[in-house]
Parts: sequence; C-alpha cells; structure tokens
Amino acid sequence: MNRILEFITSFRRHSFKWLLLAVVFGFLIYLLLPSAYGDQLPQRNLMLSDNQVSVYATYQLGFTIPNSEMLGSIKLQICSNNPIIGEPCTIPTGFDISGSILSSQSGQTGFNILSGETDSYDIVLTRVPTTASPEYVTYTFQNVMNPSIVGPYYGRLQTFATSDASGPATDSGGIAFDISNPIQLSTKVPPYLYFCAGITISPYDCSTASGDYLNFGNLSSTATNSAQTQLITATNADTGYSMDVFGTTMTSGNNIINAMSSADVSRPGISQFGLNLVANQTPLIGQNPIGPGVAYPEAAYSQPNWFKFLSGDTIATANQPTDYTEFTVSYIVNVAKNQPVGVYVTSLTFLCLANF
Amino acid sequence: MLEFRHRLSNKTKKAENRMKIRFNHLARKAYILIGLVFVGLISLMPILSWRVFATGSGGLLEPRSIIMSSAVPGASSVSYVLSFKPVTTEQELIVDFCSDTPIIGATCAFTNATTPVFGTSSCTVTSSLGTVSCPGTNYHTIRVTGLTMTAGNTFTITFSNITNPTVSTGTSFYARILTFATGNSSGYTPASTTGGATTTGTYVDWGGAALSTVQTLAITATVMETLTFCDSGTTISGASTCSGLSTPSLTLGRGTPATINASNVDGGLLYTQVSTNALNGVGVALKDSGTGVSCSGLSINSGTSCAILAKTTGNNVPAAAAISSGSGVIGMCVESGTGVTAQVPYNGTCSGNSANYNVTGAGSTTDTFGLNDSTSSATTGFGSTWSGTWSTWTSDTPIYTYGSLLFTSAGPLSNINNPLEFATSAANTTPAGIYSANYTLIATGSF
Repeated sequence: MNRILEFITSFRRHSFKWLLLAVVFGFLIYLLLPSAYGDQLPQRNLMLSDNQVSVYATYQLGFTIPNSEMLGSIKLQICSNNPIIGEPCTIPTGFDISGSILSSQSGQTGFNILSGETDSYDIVLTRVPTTASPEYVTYTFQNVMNPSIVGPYYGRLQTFATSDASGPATDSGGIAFDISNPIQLSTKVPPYLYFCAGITISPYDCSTASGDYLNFGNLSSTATNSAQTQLITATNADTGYSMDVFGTTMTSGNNIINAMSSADVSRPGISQFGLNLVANQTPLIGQNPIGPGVAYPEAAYSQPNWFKFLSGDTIATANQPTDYTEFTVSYIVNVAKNQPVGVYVTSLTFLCLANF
Repeated sequence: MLEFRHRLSNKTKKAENRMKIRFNHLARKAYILIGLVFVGLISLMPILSWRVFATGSGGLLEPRSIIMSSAVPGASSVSYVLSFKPVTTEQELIVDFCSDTPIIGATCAFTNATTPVFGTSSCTVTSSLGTVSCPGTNYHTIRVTGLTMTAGNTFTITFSNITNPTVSTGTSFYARILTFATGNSSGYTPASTTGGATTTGTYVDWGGAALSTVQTLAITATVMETLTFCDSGTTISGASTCSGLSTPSLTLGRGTPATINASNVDGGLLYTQVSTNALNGVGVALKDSGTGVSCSGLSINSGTSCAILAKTTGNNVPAAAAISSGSGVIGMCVESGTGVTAQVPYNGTCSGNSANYNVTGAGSTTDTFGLNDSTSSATTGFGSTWSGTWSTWTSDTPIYTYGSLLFTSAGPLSNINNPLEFATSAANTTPAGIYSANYTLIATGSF
C-alpha cells in the first residue's frame, strides 16, 4: 500500500515530465507510422541497358497508371538503402542521372525533365497536368551513369497531380534493380597448318597418305610421259598460306630435261618437264582441287593443259583461313630424239607457309 | 521486549474493536437500503407488469446469441446470425434493436447511428427462413412469420443486408428477441422514433442480447521491393542468398593451356542465383558489354567480328540445337530452377552434365544450345508490346539495347539457382587467336 501511495505521490510531483514523455513518444510513433501515398503503381520496373559499374546506360522506366487521374509530374528517386518513400535516401555512390535525356516516352506523353527538381539521384518529369487514363507507360532516359559499387539499388517512384512533384503523391511504388559484374568467356584457338603429300591420299585425311616415289617409265620422244601426286592443305592462319615448289628439273648426271620455266603446253619431241594443279585433257591427267577450302592454284599452274616448273614458284595460295583442299599435282615429261640415255631423276620439295 | 509486545497486542485489539463497530454501522445502512429498494419494487409491480411481464407466458431463451459478419461501425451488407433454443414451439419471431436496453417492454432508444438500419424508405433486410418484414416507421425491428421454432431444438436464422450502427467503437446496442404463436407477432409495436415504449403483444419466449461494433484493427507493415541477382564461376549454395561467389569467368577448352579445336566440343558452366519479391516476376537478359560490339559470339577483336558465331539454326533463326565438332559456334542454355522459365533459344535440353556438353572427336552434344544473333533489333527497348509482363516482351539479340531474354519467372523467387551451360567448337577455318566475350546479365523485376 505504501508503495502505491509513494508512486502516486511521485507521479503527481513529476506529472509534467510524464506529460512531456508522452508527447515525445507520440511524436516518435507519428514519425514511424507509414504515410499514405495513394495506390501502388502496378507493373513498375526499371530496365537497364547495362548493369556494370560506372558505365553510362539507358534506363527505361515502366509502370501502369492504375486509375483515371490527374497526372502532371512523375518523380523517380534512386537510393542505395531501400525503396520506401519517406525514408531517408542514401545516395548511390557514383550514380548520376542529372545529365540524362528523356529519349522516348509512350502512353502518357508530353513530359520533359524538370531541371529545377532534378539532381544526381532524383529526376522529375513534368507536363501541364492532364487527366491520364489507366494504361502502361514508359519513359526512357539515356546517358545515366551507373553506381560505382556492385549491389542492389532501389527506385522510389511517385506520380503527382501537380506539374512540379509538389503536394501529395497520387500513386507510388518501389523498384529494385541490381548492378553486377559481367560474365567473361574466353578460349584459345591454337594455330595450325594441315599439310601432307603422297601419291594417293584419301580426301582430307593425311593419315592415309602413301607413296613418295613416281616412276615415269621409259621416256619417249613421240609421247608425253605423265604422273601425279596429291597434296592436302588447311590452316586457320589469319591470312592463309602459300605453297611453293622447290627442286631441280630431271637430270641424269650432267644431262638434263629442260624445265618449263614459262608455262607451255605439252610438246612431245621437245625436252620439257613441268607440272600443274588442274585436270588436263592433253595429256589426260590430273584433277581440279577439291574440298571445302578456299585455296586455289596460282595462275601459271591453273590452266588445263599448260604446265610450268620453276623452282621457288608459288603454286597455290589461300589468302584467308581455309578448310581442307586436296590438290592433285600433274607432271609431264617430254624428251627430244637426241636426249642422252640415262636414268633421269629429281626430288621436289613442296613448302607450305602459313601466314598468321 | 516482552513488555513492548504486550503493548503492541493491546493496540491491535483496540483497532480491531473500532473496525467491528464501523462494519456493523455500515451493515445496518446496507440492510435499510436493500429493504427500501425491495419495498419500492413491490410497490411498482402493478405498473411494470402491465408493460413487461403480463404476457410472458413462455420462458427465457437460453442459450441465445447473435453473431455479426462484420463489427465495423457503419459497415453495410452485414449478416446477423441469431441462434437460440425455444422453450415453447412457436411460429413467429420479433427481433427489436435498441441502443439503451434489452429489457423486453422497456422504452427503446434508436437512431440510424445507434442501432442497425434495415433501410430508410423500405425494409431491405432479408431472412434465411420465413417471411420477413419491418414493423414500425423507422426500420430497427425485424418481424419474421412462417417459422417452425421447435421447443428444445436450437433455432438459427440469418438476417442479411443490414447496415451496422455508425457509432464509435465500443458502443453497445441490444436486441430484444421474442417468439409468438401464429398471428400474434403483429401485436408487437416498436417504439416510436422518439424512443418511446414498446407494445409487446402476446409473446411466448423472450431474451435479450447485447452487441457492439468495433473499429477494424489497422495493421501496417512495409515490405520493400527486393531484387538480388548474382553470378559466379563456382556453384552457389541455394541455402543462402548469393554467398560464396567467385569471379564469373569461364575458360572453354581442354589441355594446358585450354584450347578448342575443330575436333571436339568443349563446354562449361557459370552459375546465377536470383531472389525477388516482384509481383510480376523477374526477367534476366544477356547483353554484350562494350562499345562497338556487332555480334553475339566469341571474338578476337572485342566484338567487331565474331569468328566463333552465335549458335542459330537455319538463317540466323534463334532456336536451340546440338553443337557439333568443327561447327565454329558457341551456344548456351539455361538450367532453369523452380519457378523459372528459360526463353528461346536458351530453352533447350540443359542437363548440367558435362558428358552432355563435351564431345571428344566427331559428334554432337546431347544438350542443345542457342544464342540469339538476329540481324536486326526487334524494337527499341523491350519491344513495342512490352507492358510490364514477360509474355509481352519481344526478345532481341544481345548486342541490342536491352539484350536477349534468358529466363523469366511469373512471380517472386527465393534463392533460385539457374546455371548457364555453354558449349563451343572451333571450325577448321576459325582463325587462331584468343577469343572472348563479355556478357552482362541484367535482371529486371516487374513489381
């Protein structure tokens, strides 16, 4: 009982303090209570053309006006702490919308950026207040500088009947978006040159190359002797490749069969040694290049029935990366009646040089 | 010490005697007051019995209750469910609402603000049983005929289309419930608009009920909009939001250093996780990053050209398909999580199994891949039909403004993992070099 009496006495003595405390408490409650901001804006979103840190991006703001209502201004505020309207806004580090331009608008149109109400993290669109019908609207801002820190960010969106975002908001809503790191894909494609020679090679498979010795048989001054070999090439060299031939004409000791230093047709009875890379009718030998590659014989070695041999000549070329090409090299040998007797031989070297 | 205790004992006894005297004095006054009240009531009996008790020949309705579908002051279209157990079998019912007392036959105060309203110009209340009417000129009384209220059986009737009193929260009003034999309820005359006495007629059973309106509790909570999206080079635990992340980079190929060639298909995984409370879901788009990018595939010159092309079918048609060795393309698919829908062309078979996106030697992948590489922009932005829902979105290629839509959800998501599966193979003609692509993954919530 005494304690109760003491409490009552103390309360009376400190009644002013209690009253003050109640007022302060009530004020705090008032501050904490959420304010009314009309309807939520449905389908609200903020699309970014790029969500990397510290790059200029295009922001497209979209939302639905829920009711037929007077619309004079739209305010978008970007914060890094939360999307709750009325709460203190933490300005996103590095973010800047003040230099943006309103590049397009749909639905409710006629808006301009209200420069006096726009700063680095607030943008206000204004127009003469007009009744807006319920519909989806979009507003595109170019040249917006993204925040400089990865993470979630928030937009606070409000519509107003007034043209300067003053007075109570008609509708409102929050938006969230994300600034993140890009994904990186990488790989290496190693350089390669695919090249082989043989008497026969199955298409595009160097592992099947066989033979490295041609025998023309007995040479005759009345008929052309011929033979063929094959080459397969491919490369991913940026500027393709060149294929050269090196060697000597056919010789037997000091006796030679003349190399066809300039392109010519086959002339039996005249000393000739030459080659080309195409199909021929006279003599009937050879084959045009086959395969998906884009390499081609050089002009001097690409005319049917015309042959040439000059050591160091480039006989085929590709000027870009090329898939498989199978060349057939046709060789002809003619001898004069006075061609000294002997065993005539030569060794030819084909050199393929990729140009990376 | 003993002497002190003796003195204390004497003081206590004296105090007790004084309390007894005071108690006896108060008790005598109480007895006198009770007696006077009792005498007064007896003397008033002839007057009260004429109004209140004269016709109550049945019994008190027990138990009885009225349940309101809404107790909000001023609420309209409210239903009142009346239940009671009749003492006597009867056929007609009167329910009279008053703001002052439930006592049968006593004066009845009523206004539209203090009692339920059944209409202003006509009786709008309806009843689940019998034929309902509203006697009187102001409708605060309900009369129902044609009922069967059996003695001893609980009787329940629902009255609808009632407007609650508009008085402030916590104010009571009362119902007077009376049963009648057939034809007798017409003898019940409700109080006048001035709150006069009622004429009860020949009722049988009776009872009262007290009701009250109460303001609806206003509970406000704010859930802020959230969107959390992350990517990683290693798996992301679904148990927590975007934790344990690593740099989201992927090197495709085999060997050391890793290379690709035309003989194989090489793939790999990157990981994403998304959480949002967006009502209309989230969309994640793939966008080529960097300026001057003109193609969606892998490039050795920062996107000026792509020697490893985006995986398409036919004439740049974006659709998922297997990737073959030597094809010189790159594609991806989304291993979509719960509630997530992968979009064309990323919606192919996407197992996450390395055996299904790596091929050694000639052959094709089991999983299927795509990468939008349309030669023209669908529109500006997300398409001319875009209206905030993903079904209205027109997909684009990653090089255009808002990118190529990878996957969407129709509603909120919580820690949903959506790994991205990539596969590529060089062609014989793929120029040698170091290839790369930087993609940004842009998550957009539609709240």
